[in-house]
Amino acid sequence: MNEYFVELKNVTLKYGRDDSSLALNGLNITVKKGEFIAVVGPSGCGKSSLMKIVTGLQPISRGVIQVGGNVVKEPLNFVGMAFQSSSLLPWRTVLENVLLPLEIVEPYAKSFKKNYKKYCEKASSLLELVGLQGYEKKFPWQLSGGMQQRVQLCRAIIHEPSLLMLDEPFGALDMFTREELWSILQGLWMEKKPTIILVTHDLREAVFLADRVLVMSSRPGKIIHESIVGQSRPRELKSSYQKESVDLIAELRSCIQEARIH
Amino acid sequence: MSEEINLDIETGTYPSRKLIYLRKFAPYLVFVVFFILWELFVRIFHIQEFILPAPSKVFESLYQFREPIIQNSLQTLMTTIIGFMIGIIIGLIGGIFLGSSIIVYESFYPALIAFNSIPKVAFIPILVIWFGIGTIPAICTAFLLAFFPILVNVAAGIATVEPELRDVLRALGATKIQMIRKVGLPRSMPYFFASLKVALTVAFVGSIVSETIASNLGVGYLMLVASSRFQTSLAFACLIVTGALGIMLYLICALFERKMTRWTIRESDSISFSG
Repeated sequence: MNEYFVELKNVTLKYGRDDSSLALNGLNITVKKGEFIAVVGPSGCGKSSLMKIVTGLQPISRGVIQVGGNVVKEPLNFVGMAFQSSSLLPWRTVLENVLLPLEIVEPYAKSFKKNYKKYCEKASSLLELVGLQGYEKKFPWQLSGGMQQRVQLCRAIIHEPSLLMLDEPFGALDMFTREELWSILQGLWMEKKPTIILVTHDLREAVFLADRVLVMSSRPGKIIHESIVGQSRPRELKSSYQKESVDLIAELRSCIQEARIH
Repeated sequence: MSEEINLDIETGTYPSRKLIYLRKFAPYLVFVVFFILWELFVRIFHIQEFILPAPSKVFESLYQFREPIIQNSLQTLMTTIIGFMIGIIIGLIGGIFLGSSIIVYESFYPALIAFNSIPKVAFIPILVIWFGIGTIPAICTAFLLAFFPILVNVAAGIATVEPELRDVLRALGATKIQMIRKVGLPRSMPYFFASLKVALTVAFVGSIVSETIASNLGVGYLMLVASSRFQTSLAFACLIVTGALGIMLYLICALFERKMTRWTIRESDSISFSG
């Protein structure tokens, strides 16, 4: 039995033939089951490529990726994902949007019609958890950006995925909404304990949320630094302004600064 | 100070209310003014009836020949709607097929463009060889014109699903069919309904053109007969009926569209609609 849930060994990704199209080069990442890691790095370092290769949406050029003990060769079929843009379906209500994964992922999809009521209750309770009770029948465009992201989070976790991939899910939000959602995400994670890989450019976000923060170099991306965030859970928002966090953020910052120059 | 503000509000609301009325009635006004000018033009310059009949004469013959006009209009409506329906079916199926795969899209697109640039009138002689004159060539021509805008729009709606959304679904293990059913098709519905308006209008044109060339029934045929007998006012009456039917068909489609794709109308729009 492998001790890691997600393991990337010496992964290289090329989009074209020559070396200038190298997006990732010799990437090594390991994530334990139930661990929450954050990946930060200068823009264009291949963070989004990381999302795609771990989920199998993008085949890699060299190396091995294993998720849950299996080598990733084709798109996985259980991963929850959330992006910066809310990507909700505008013709569906909030509730129907959250239910979407249950219509696709097994074993839920098989008995979707039979268990519809139960699933609706499940979706409603998730929406309540993120503070959206009473919004089930609303359409996405009737919600603010922050609310839409909360719906997206619910959609990403309703099928209780063992792996959650988040690509700057709070990037387009204002600071206060973002912080509010950090706490919500932390709460969700502590309750369900999925393995989370969060890609972000917000160092405070990374340090507040993750157990471990990985720094990627600029293109071609590889991991150049790793910091363990030692703070106990649940963390409070003000903790990210305390010395321990501030020092760590400064350290990560200088790392990325260096990575940008090289 | 307060007086000044009141005055501003007064002057601010007054013309806008007037504007609302104007916006409501202006389309009708355009028709009325157009007919009045036409009538005046004919009377002032003493233009002979067989060249340009006055609107009063046109409406007179519209009433006089109401029976053949109604009968032939119904024929035209029937061929239009049957052609249009077939166009919807083929357009939808073709659009789904084309939109669901880049390879299919790229291989068929040039052929479709080529097909679309052939004037559909050119098909009518061939259709006559196959089916004889009458109803079927009219239906076929209506269909040939109608399916293309539907197909292209549905294909575009399916093919342009946002990459993030595609990733979310693929990472959940969605099959191609699930992607189309749950995202592609609902997403292309606004495009589809927008294209229906165009498709129905061109189907109508197709029917009439076919009737003028190869038929013994329909508004197009009636116009041909009228012109061969120098009954210019009847020919114009047919034109007016054609225009009225065109507007009617368009409105039905627009109404249907608004009902079916309400989610595309944002809140601010819906307020202005109800107001």
